[in-house]
Amino acid sequence: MKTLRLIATLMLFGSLTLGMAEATIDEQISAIQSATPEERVTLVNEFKETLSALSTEERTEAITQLRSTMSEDGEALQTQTQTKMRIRSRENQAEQTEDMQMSQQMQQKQAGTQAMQEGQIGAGTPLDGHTPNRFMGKK
Amino acid sequence: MYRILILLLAIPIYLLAYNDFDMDGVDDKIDKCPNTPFSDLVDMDGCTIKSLESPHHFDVVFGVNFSQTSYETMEDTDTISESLQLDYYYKNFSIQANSSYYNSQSVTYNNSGTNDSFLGAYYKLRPITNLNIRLGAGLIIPTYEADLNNNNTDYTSSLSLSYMFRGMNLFGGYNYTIINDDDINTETTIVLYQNTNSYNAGIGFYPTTKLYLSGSFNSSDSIYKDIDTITTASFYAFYNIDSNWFASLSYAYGLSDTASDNYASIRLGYYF
Repeated sequence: MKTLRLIATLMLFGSLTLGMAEATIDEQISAIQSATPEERVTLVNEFKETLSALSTEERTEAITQLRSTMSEDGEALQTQTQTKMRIRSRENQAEQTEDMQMSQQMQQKQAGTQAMQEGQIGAGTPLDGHTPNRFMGKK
Repeated sequence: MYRILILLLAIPIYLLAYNDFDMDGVDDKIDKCPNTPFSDLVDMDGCTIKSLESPHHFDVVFGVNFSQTSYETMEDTDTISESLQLDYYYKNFSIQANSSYYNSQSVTYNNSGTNDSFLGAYYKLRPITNLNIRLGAGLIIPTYEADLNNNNTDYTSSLSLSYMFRGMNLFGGYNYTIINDDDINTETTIVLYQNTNSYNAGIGFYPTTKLYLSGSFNSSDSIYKDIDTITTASFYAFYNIDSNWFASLSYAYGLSDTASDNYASIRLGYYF
């Protein structure tokens, strides 16, 4: 019974908090819409601070709500997000290329071990015309 | 009454006339920094006074890699490895750690274990618009148990460039690795190591907002002396699933006798 009461209290508290957050966002957006240019900057800064405390989903919803009042289609925000993602894709490419090249060298180390175990190293020396490391090469 | 009507009509006209590209509350007409990140607080000119975004970020990348080799004196071998990479980002700095576990198989040979591990630090800079430079230094830790010497940590340094030109990404990279493993030079066995230079160059583009494709040519010295350079042609695809998740695929075809015939890698990453 106690547990049920606790769950009910928590759910009620959660709903109230969410409701209050929504009300705050609506109020802030209304205030931004009707503010003078001087007041608007301060209000937008406050709005951003409110957003930083929200979850990703709540933030996305609030930003969408603000878009219609601030910019025709939120183009800048989309561009900024896209730019960040694009930079990440290029950095990842550099990492993965370096990693692939290291893997190729790693593959040769493994080939060295394999050659030792298959008895391929040891037969040739530079003196008898073979190059050292002669286990490497194509069939 | 007439005045009130005029005022009511003027309000929507005023709101329509107002446009704010970067959504910082400063009208584009007087915004001195018209492309401020949304996570920044701004002054009356629309320029950043403080960023709300945390400078600390992380990512975790899990990968599965496959390679096929057919070297001169050995059986054809397939190797599958699973890799785990962790990155920490602070502003322009980042630290990377990765390791992988492999399983190699041929007709009569079967071996598995940990590959060498990597620990590196990077710094990225943007001297001009569209040009990104990434400098790195790292350690290749000998966690691979080799029958040949793999007894010392190797040092590596890297430089990679990426330049966006008319929607295309022109990129290139250079890597120098100091191989510290001791040579084996006995009456029956000769294995000589050398430091390595690696290069890559390629071109990439974005066919959609979330997808990036590229192709490159890669060249790398062998860690063994008197062995031909490892050359490959590779294809790379990167897909941004959302602002946190991403996936990538790379394939490399061996152009030289010393390269793996085929190498493929698929990765899934989470950035936060």
